Amino acid sequence: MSIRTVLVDDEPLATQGLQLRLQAFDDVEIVGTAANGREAIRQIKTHKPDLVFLDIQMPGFDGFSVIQGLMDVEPPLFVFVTAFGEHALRAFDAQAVDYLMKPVDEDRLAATMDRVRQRLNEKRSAEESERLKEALEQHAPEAAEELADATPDAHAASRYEKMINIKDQGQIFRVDVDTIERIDAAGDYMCIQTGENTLILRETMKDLEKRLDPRRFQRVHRSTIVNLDLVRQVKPHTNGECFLVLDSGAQVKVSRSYRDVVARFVH
Amino acid sequence: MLEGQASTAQLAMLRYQLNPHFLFNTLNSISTLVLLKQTERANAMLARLSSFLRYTLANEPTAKVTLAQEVETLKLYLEIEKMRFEDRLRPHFRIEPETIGARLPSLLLQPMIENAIKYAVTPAENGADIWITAKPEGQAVRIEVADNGNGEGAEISATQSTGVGLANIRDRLSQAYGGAHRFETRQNEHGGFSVILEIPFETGETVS
Repeated sequence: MSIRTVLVDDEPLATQGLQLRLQAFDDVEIVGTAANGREAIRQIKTHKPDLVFLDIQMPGFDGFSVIQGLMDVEPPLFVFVTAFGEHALRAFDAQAVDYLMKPVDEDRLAATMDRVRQRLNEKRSAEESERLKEALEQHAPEAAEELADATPDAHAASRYEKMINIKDQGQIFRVDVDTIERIDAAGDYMCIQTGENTLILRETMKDLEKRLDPRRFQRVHRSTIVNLDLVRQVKPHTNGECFLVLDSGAQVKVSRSYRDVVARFVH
Repeated sequence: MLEGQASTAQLAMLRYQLNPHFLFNTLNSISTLVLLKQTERANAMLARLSSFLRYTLANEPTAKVTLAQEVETLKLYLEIEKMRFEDRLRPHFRIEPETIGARLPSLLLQPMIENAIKYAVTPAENGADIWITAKPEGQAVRIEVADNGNGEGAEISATQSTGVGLANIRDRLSQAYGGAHRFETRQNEHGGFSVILEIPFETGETVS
């Protein structure tokens, strides 16, 4: 299956260089090129590519603004390409698939493309299973229900991130979501508690919630998300509230409004 | 004596610092030319880049060069940048002949050009013009680097760059001339940003 690709760089020679290097990959189909951020947004909205190679320093909108300008469409995969490494942290923050340095090394590009293919496969199989489910629901709703019960859908899970990047004090930590015990909100920051460690992430609770599998990560309080797999004990309290004891021994209060939700998961 | 050493050390810190973005983007362009098998262009770019690097590495921070030499280096640099930006970068030199023998600290003007490229050329889809003018002004030489970047670019230049490149120029001027110089920035008649220097007109004999 071909990978429809858009190249974005304000320097014509840089675009050409990437184009030449990508010729080595039979599955890459370049559907458009853009020389500035504004054009990039238009090309991406028109062609709906699978993949975008994006220069960071550009006229008008820079690379990061391009990503922001695409909030209202299904985002393609982004690979940042830059001359000098100072934007690496922000690129990971922007959920880039990869981050390449100019001039781009061929072997390094091959590794990037492997990563892109893997991500696309995950994305496509998730979409495919979603389509099948919808078709089934339309034509045979009972069968669909049975299917949903029988397969606690492996595909749906793959839509959620297994590892999340957390930038803390200038370093990037890759955190396996399995190890996250709970997440506490503190103002504009989220404190990710992994049992051993606390990491600070600047993100809203709402956005973070979207990145995590809701069957495992449940909001139990206005400012707390809990990993249900790591709940070891439920202790009732007054006023319909209760406490959860987590694997590390930490106790988390479940507010009344979330009590029913939790009861469905913890038996 | 001690004072002299201290000021040499300070000058060494203030010497021109090669911009890594410039270096890697240029290497990237040359790499593309090689892939395109445009060997002559690639070779010409390598020769220019080598000359420019040699100039930036070889010059003592305290060394003074003639304006003619400084302008040659700026042209070398601009030719390299033109390979990347093509028609988006439009430099214009207006150097009055009587100023070309004037001596000034080497690479003093380089950050002014880089500044104009960064804040006027790069952010604009159609790029920008850059005017480099030098003329005698009484006992001084007046040098101006002007661009026609949009108002927004000028505003950014006025705030951000004074923190880095332009502050460096200011310090080097103080080191070289004490109070006997002028340095100012302004919004120019092209709607862009200008940096203006006035330095004493020194010729070959007066080595400081």
